[in-house]
Formats: sequence, structure tokens, C-alpha cells
Amino acid sequence: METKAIQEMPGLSRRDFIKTSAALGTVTLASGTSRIFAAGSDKVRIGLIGCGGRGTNDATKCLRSSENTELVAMGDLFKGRLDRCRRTLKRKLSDKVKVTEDKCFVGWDAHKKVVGCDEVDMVILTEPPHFRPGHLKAAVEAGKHVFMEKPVAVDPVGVRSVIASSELADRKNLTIVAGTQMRRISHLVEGIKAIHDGAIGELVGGQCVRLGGGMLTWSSNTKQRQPNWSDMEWQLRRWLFLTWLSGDFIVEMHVHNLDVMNWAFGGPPVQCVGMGGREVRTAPEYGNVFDHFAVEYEYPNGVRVEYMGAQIDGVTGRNDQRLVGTKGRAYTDFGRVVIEGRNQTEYAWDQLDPEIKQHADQIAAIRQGKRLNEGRRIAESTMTSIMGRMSAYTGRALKFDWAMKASKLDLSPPKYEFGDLPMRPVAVPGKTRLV
Amino acid sequence: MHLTACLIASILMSTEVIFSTPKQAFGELRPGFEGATQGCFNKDTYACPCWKGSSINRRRARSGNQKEIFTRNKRSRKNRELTRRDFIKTSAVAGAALASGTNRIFAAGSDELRIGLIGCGGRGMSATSQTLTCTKRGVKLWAVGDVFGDRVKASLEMLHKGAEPRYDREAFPSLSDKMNVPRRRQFVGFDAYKKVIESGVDIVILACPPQFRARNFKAAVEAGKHVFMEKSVAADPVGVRSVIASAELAKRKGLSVVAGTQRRHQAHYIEIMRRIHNGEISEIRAAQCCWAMGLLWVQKREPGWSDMEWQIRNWTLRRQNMSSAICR
Repeated sequence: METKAIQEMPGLSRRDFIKTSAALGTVTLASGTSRIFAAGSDKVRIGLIGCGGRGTNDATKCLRSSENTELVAMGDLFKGRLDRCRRTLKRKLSDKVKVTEDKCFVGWDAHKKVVGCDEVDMVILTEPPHFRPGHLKAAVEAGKHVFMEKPVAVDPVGVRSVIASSELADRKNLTIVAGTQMRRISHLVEGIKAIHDGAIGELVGGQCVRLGGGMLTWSSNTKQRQPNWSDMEWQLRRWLFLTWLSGDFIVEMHVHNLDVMNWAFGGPPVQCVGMGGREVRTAPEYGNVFDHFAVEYEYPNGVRVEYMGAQIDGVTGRNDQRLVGTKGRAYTDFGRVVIEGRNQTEYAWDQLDPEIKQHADQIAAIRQGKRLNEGRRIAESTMTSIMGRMSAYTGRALKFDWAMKASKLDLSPPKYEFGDLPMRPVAVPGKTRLV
Repeated sequence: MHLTACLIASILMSTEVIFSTPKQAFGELRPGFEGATQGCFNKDTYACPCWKGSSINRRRARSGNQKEIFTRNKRSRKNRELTRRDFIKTSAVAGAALASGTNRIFAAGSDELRIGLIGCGGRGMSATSQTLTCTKRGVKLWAVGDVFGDRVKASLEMLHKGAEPRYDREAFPSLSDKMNVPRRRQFVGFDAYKKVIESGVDIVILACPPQFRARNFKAAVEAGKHVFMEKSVAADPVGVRSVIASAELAKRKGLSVVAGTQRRHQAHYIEIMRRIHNGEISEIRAAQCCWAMGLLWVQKREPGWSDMEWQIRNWTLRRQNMSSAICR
């Protein structure tokens, strides 16, 4: 699967680059801070910020996606996580992992040190979502290309920061790719294109359902709070279940599904109203997130889409989207797209790993000096999820524009240090204030 | 209101239940209609249309684009009080009277109908007051029953006194002249429903919490009574199957049964459905339905109440009584 991806998207040689650039008529612009690949080495050198499971996975796929790539720096808040990740990567890809001891950074400012390394061309941002806006800003200001995992923020203040950094990246000719691999699954690409081309007529409604397990065994070694862990450390180690760190699962995980909806509709919704609660996952180790949400999103022209999501063990499993048009319907799970109605078609899984493809696309764009910036798009999809959560937490209907421009919600802690940090109470619809 | 009138009309004529479609001018549906059927009725306020016309929505209606709906509501109120002539006209159109077998045969529109109320809560009272006021004469409250004596007392007092309007009920005057409920026909306890049914009534109004509907309905139909029953009619599938069986028996016996789904009898709903069924918005492809609201009510547990008493008095919150708000 991966070799196929590499064959399809090989690392381009310098000759290829010149040829391609000439053919496309693209001109590599002076970026000020970022390296110009035509003039220098073909090698793309990568820094990894956030050495958890997702970081290890993304670094592996990135290095495997293209030839002439190297991992040269790593950063994490915790030394244990960094060391484990470094060992794993070395074992898997010894020839591409060239991280020396002095390029391993640990602590609250590890990200600054990674983006401060001259030899780093591109960073992979895979810390908990809360940190994404700050890390993206630092990376772009330092002139680094960025691959960042979804979601890219947990609150509107963070979303606005991501959009600002993304615009700065454009001015600096830096690429940004977001880990919404659904956008690179070929059958989804073809299926959504068919929908855009009118295969099911005008869109008049949709559904988006993701029901899955409770993630109760996630990071099971941190379930029991250690006596020496401060509030901050405990929350960071259980980040998935803290709204200020993960954004809650509607943001952290289901942004994928809502991003597919935004993709189909060509942009974010206008408004939403949501409900949700915490019925099963109530133990203290599950922080303050909900375990179920139901949100109705309204897209332009009054088209309504219902989203339903749960992380509860024992429920019927679902993970699919459905779009209703005037001439038919489209159904998609992540394995296929089925178009029913006048233009009946099925687009099937093609076995190509989209996670490899997203890295290959970015590295090719970097080498060719092509514009590739998914920052605003993922920021809008992240906001789509965030507004659903905000509505469910407060029980109030709200508009996308209001959330984007006026909401003051900022979930940041007072300071970033290991110490006391009382957990915010679980939201109560009708009582929790809409900020 | 129209609903109970229909029931009474059909009983008087011993026909199956029918209702007329009010023919008042409906006018052109406004351009947002296509949207309305998808649920995005009022784009400015994000409010869903409340065709019931509660006080909140009436206020909004005067200033906003629901004005038209409001005026339709007002117009449709003319239909509230159907005269006996209307009954006869309406029923005659529907066809010949059927022989009912077990129930009393009514001479066309002349006899008095005796009403029995089972379940003396707020809804039972509303349904009873509406039944008693929907025609000028010819109906009389004959017996009442509830599991609790205080509810029986309170409901009779209110029906004698009359009541102010409430969110779910219009005002009604004193109905003393339409009541004949001596103490011997006021029944209290878990078997009160049986006693009401056996007291010589023609129609029973079933307004207990939904869990009790199936057995109350069964008993009423077996005894040959016409039934007005509130929605929802069950709290579980076993109850639903029982209700279907009783409804089939009622059909065989020529009994009329009306369920309290008043939207089926509201002029603008009927008109909108007619237009939808006529294909005015083409094939139905998507639909939404939303009802978000506050907590209805909670009864604080009093000393001396058994678990059962507390649960029944708090029935809206008890799963075994009504499953959940989705049924309501």
C-alpha cells in the first residue's frame, strides 16, 4: 500500500523539479525566511513537535512518503514520550531518523527550539489540539513549512489565530497541510467531485453519524493518577478527556466527518443548534468531556444537516455521511461512496493510504515551490465542530459568523506550568454561558 | 376542540370517525414554504414554526413573518364550535350509519352523550372542558376516576368554577350545567377506570399517564365505549400491540376512537399536508423535526408517599410511565 504511494508520488529529483516548474510555469518566489529548494539540496528535513502516538505515526508516514526526507529534530513536553518515539522511529526508519541528542528538546518551550533549528525545513505538529495555534504561529514566523494534525484549535480565539498564521504562511510562500486525510481518499475525491458536478442535483439535506466506543482504555497507564503528578500533568496525560486540551470528541475526532460535510457543501455552515451530555463516561479519569452530541447544522440556502455522535461502549456502531439532493442521494462511509438516483455509481476503496499521500503532496509542493495551504479550510472545519460543541454545552443556537468574529471563548489555562489547575466543571446545557 | 367535536359528531351519527377539511381561503403559501417543510421556516430568528399558536409565538407572529399563520389560526377558530347542523351535514357526506353491535344507537343528534373522564390531571381536565364546550348541548360529564382522590376533587372543582387560559389550554367558563357527577360516580384507586366504564357512560376520555393507556383502552372497548384517548398511547411495544388489538376490536364493534393528535385536525396543517401530498414540493427528500423546551414539572416527594405514588405523581420523569419525552 505504502510502496504504491511512493511509486505514484516519488521524491522528485532536481531535474524533475526544474522540468516541472518550467512546465507549470511556476516561479519560485523568494520567501524571505524559508529555504529555496531549487537553489539548495533536495532533501527535506523535518522536525517533529509532539511525540505521542499520532506524532510517531505521522513522522513515519511522512518519511516513507517521499525520498530524500530526514527527521532532524524532535520536541515534546515529556522526556519519556520523546525517548520512546525516537526509539520507535529509529527502529523503523534508521536511515532517515537523524536526530542527534542535542536536537531533542523537552519542556514547555520545546516547540520554539525545534522551529529555531536552521536545518529544519518543515515541522509536524501533533501535540494536543489546544497547543496547535501557538505552535503553528511559532513555526510560520520562523519560516517553516507545516504539517499539522486536525483539529487545529479548541476555541474561537485559537481558530482566529490559525487563520492569521495561515495568511502569514501565504505571504511567506510556506505550505500548510492539515491531517484531514479524508480529503485525499480517492473514492471520496471522485464521489464529492461528482456531487459538485451535479450527480445528485442541488443539495437539500444531509446526515452525518459517528457512533463508536467509549475510548475507555485509551492511555490506560495514566488512568490512575500518580501522587507526584500536579493537576496540570494529570490533565495533560489525560488530554483526550479535557475540553481545554482536546476540544471534546466532536472536535478532536468527529471534525473528520464534519469536514467531509463542509467539503460537500463547499464551505462551513451558517448556524447550528446542538444538544449533548455525559451519560456513561462519568468517572473522574474521563475529565469533563461529553459522551454524546446531536447537532443540527444549517448550511446556506436553509439546507439542514443532522450530526449525531457518541463515544459510548455497546452502542450500534456507525461512521458515515449521507447527502440528499434533488436528483438522488449520496452515501459515504470511509470505504466507499455510493450515489443513488438518476446517476447511480459506486466509487470503491482504492487501497492507497491517504495519510501517505497527504505528506507526499506537501513535500512535492515544497520542492516545486507550489502553493499549498489548507490552513483556513481546516480552521473553518475545526470551527464547525467547536460551534457544535459550544451549542451543545450551552443549549443555545448560534451562528458561525458570530463564533468566528465575536465569541470570546478562550480555554487557555492562566499559565503554562506544572502546578494547580482546577478542572473546569462539566458543561450543563441551559446553564453554561455562551461566551 | 375540533377533534372532540368530530368524535361527538361521529358518535351521534354512529358512523366511523370522519372530519371535515375546513374550506376557508388559505391563500398562496409564502415563498419560504419549501423551506418550511424542511424545517427552516423562519430564517431570521431560527425559530421553528409553532402552528399551535402558543402565546410566545403569537407575539412573534404579530411582528414577524408568521403573521399569516397567526391570522389563519384566528380564522380557523370560527370552526371551533360546530353546530349540530354541521355534524349532520358533515356526517351525511361521509355515508350511512353503521350498526354498532354493542354500543348504544343514537337517534340522529337527539340524545345526550354521557362522558366519563379517566385520569383527572391537567390534560384530562383540558380534554373534558373542550369536550363539554365543543357543542352547545347534548354532552354531559357523567363520571370521573383517578388513582388519587385529590386529583378527582381538584378537577371537579375547576370544571365547576371555570379556568383561566394556560399554555396548553384555552379559558373555559363554569361547566356546572353540563356536569352530573354525584359522589357515587367519583371513583378513586387503581380500578377507578373500570368503575367509570361501568357507570353508564357513552364515551370515555383516557388521560392517565401513557403507561396506563393500553389497559384502559382495552377495558373501554371491551365494554363497548367510544374512546377519546390522549397521545401517546403506550410506553412500550407490548402496550402498542395491545392498543392495535383493541383498535381492531373497536372497529369490529363500530366504536369510534379519536387520539389526541390535534395537529391532524388543524386547518393549516391539513392544508399544508394536502399540498405536500399533491406534490407541491415534489418528492419529499429531507425533513427535520425539533422540539426543545424546558423541564415540564416536578413534584416534590412528600412524606407518606410510597415509591409507586411518587412515581405516578411524577410520571413525566418516569420511564415506565412514558418511556421518555420523545413519545409525548
